[in-house]
Amino acid sequence: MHHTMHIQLDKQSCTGCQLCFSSCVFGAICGAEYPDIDIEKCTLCGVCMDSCPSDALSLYQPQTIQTSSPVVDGDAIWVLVEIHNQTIAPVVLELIGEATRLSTQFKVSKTVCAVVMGEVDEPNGKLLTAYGADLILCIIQPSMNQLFEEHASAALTFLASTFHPSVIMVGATSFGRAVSARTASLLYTGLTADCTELRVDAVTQNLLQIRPAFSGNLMATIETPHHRPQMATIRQGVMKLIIPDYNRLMNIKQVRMENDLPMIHATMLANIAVQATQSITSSDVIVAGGKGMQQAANFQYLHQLASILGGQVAGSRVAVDNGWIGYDCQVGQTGKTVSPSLYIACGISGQIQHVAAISGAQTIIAINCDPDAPIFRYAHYGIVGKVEEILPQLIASLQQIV
Amino acid sequence: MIQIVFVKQVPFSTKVKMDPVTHTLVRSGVRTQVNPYDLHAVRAAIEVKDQCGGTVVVVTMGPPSAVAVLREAMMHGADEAVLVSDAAFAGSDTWSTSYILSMVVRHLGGADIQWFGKQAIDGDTAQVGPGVAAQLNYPQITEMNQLIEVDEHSVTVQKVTDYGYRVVKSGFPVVITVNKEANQLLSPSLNDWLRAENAEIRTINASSLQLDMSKVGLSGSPTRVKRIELPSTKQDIVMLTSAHELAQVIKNLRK
Amino acid sequence: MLIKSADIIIIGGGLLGCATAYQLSKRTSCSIVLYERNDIASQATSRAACLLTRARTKPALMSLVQETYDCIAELSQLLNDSLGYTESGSITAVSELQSHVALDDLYVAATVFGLQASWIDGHQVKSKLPWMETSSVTKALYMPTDAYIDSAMLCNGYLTGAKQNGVGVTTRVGVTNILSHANQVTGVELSTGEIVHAPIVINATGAWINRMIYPQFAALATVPVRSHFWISESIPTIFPINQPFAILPDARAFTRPDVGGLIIGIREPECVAYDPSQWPDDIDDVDFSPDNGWSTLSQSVNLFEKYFPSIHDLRIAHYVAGPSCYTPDSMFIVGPLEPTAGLYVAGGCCGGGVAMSGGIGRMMSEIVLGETCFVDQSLFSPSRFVDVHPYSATLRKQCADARSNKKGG
Repeated sequence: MHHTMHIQLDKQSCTGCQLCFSSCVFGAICGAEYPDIDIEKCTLCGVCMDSCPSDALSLYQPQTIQTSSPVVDGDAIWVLVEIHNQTIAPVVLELIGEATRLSTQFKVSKTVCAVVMGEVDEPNGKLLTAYGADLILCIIQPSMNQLFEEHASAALTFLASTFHPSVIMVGATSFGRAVSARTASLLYTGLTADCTELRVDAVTQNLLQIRPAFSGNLMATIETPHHRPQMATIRQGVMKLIIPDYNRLMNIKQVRMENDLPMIHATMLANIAVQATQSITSSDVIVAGGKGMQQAANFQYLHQLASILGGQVAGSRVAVDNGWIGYDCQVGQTGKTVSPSLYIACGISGQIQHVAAISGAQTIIAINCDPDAPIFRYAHYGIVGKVEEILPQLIASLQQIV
Repeated sequence: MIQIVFVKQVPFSTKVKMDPVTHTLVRSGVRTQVNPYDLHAVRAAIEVKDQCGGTVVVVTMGPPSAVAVLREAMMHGADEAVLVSDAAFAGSDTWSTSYILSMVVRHLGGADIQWFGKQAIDGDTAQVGPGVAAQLNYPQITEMNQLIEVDEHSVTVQKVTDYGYRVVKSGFPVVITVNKEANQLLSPSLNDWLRAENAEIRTINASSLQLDMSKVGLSGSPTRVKRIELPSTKQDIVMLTSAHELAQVIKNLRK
Repeated sequence: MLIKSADIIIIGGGLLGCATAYQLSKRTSCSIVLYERNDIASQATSRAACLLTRARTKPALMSLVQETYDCIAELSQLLNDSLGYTESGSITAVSELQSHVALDDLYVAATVFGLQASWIDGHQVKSKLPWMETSSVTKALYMPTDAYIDSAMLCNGYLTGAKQNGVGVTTRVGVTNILSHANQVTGVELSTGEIVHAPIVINATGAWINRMIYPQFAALATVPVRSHFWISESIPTIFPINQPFAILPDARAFTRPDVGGLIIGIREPECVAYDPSQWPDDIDDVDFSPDNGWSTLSQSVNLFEKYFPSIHDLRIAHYVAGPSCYTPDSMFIVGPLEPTAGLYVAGGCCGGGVAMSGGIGRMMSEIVLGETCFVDQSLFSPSRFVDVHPYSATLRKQCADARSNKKGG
């Protein structure tokens, strides 16, 4: 008998159905009839417990630990609004769109609420409303500097502990990641980073947060069963905008934060804006190159093709590591998530880290010399051959017909 | 000056294979390494120490085998190492990990700068640094890409923002997370290895941390993994045989 | 299901498999297919030190190396690619008196074979290898035409040449079984479940060579032995990019320039041999050293110190380890695998796989095609060992000793 935490089996309840055997991706469960759990391989991920139809698997804990009291679920889905130079970050509108979709998946639909640090101006208020916000919640605290992650987190924490939203969605920007992590820590609630899909569990009404796991090789479904709010960050380009409706009624509510903000020792000495080159995330056509491009010189074909199609050139992690293209243009889990209408993958094998980042593309075309390259499992059109042979021919053909 | 650098043991290779028959994860042996971002955090701490003196302590939470990453961090210049290890910590998510590490900071008497790598390559969440800062009510500076100035009372760094860079000055204590661009790593020498190999490593377990045990491990973690599966793939690909054919397809798509 | 067939199947996309494919494709119009279960040149090939040392005491070995040089020249022209070939020259420097005899023998063998070689003194060594402490060097041989190469590029070069001659290559598909009937090879079974018929199968699977044929067909006296080197940080002022590679027999070491850094290979007094029956399918999954080579370096550095006293402070950027497949007599295994007709092996590279690849490929081709072999093939015959237990501790000890006792790089 092990005295540390482990998954235990109640043989009375076990029917020997062996569903748990295949539920475990770590191969930790085997046995002739009853499941036998290999402690060495088990990561305590708990997937087997959910797979068991007769609840025979449970977590053994050495100490008596009080289970959290049942939580009261709120009636709103919040989206944290990031505004820079009077402009709302594009990911925010995408998240509001997703919130409206999620809202209807709950048995009792939720209010979609945009949370703004400070006041919101009229045009932005209208924009948030048109893209799906039922309510705009503005938090007012005169000494707040919304650029500070500590201030924004304190304000969001105050608001959430006052109004108890069910869900808070935050754009996985540099700012959003830092603020959401600090806020979740203060609220003692779960936060799932970089979700690629959100769903509502029909039975439990929990938010199912799907994200790449194990270095992007697998997809994990994560939930926050006993804590609220359920927090998730989502990257730009993952969720789709809804068609804006400018006739919707704008509904703004201002909330004064009475609490003091945390003392921040940090002072800002300079804020340097870097001229953003046209980002690949906003491009409608992306021509991307990977390891199979073999050398920097071959990227000229991608630039030619992109210019014919009015698109942008991007690269896989290998291409960036090799210096064939800048980091700004990296598509992948560690780079950018994109959702163009056309994505042409040239010499990209299609590791899941890459594929997860292009799942929003409407049409994917793959050119690769290896017919077994995984990219062909995701592409809509494929052609097997060397990129340095196919691309010049393709460019020539397109120049004739376009 | 006291600095704590938190490091994480991550798989050596991010290449993970699936057994095509059993659909289970074939994990590439047991090889592990220090999370690459964390080595840049160690390097940043050493640069600060070079100017201000003091002690650099590396801390990791993990199984007893994680001493290997502490020794690796010590090869890169850290003075002391602490392993935080307890079976009760298994299954901790980022919230519980942040909670435990914040209690470690308290246990160690606090530090002027607590350093983290920007994120870990196995999870990519970037949550634990800010999480610890929140638990301790310390200011946080995320994604430092340049150490500009440091003295006994404050540190000035440049950090990455979504729109460029920002130069921030902070007093102590502070939590800073570090990008790979922040500095150049120096490879260790045989003498560095020898020093790290012979260094004594302290171990801290749950009982010394005055933890609320209901908040640690799998059961104390707010998030729960419900399912792990292979990403879905689609099958209906149209294979083309010539560049000309492909050009026609693109033309039709772009209509 | 479509039944596939070929005249010759090569198993393994490392240097020996690809060199054999190239050499065969130059000599025959038979249909040849090669299967590699991982990627081309992804296993032991990409972890080699890549020295193309010409001078050997056995003339047959010098002929094999010369053939590799000929292939490199041929492929460079054909593919218009340098393949990472660098003619750096080499210096073999010794300190102990008993090492003089062996160096004299090497000089004689080399010059008789027609290689350029000259004796140089400590000052000349120092001028070519500025990092070296040469006070203990008592004799040094300079060979200006020695070179090193990028082994993965060479391997891909062989394969590109082979493909141009019509060889079919499939990667990410392994051979799970070699099939035979009445002592005649009939083909292979692939990891995809497909069967490919062929009367000739060449096993060039390196460290996995016995896994392919034992116990169904035969056992070979070879096991993987750990071979490794360290790469220093880049300090071009001390480690000139164009310096010769150095062989230091009395330190059991070699050095080679690597873009401003120094590659340092040091053999342990007791080399580590592995049981290949326990090996994973991909070498990336083998943990050659839990501490990334540090304890090994610490234990084996003492003899090297006299040539490089500041080695303890040298920053080490990388540790590269891989399997060298040794045999008890340090000679390769190339030839037919009796009694099964049509089954051949090329393996047991003994740390010389890169330098000998072209030669072994040629020898293998000539044997398979029934031509007269350009070197004495009996030296390398698979049947020269009897009563072999491929996964036994005894064989591992013999093969580890063969590497431990090796002279030169």
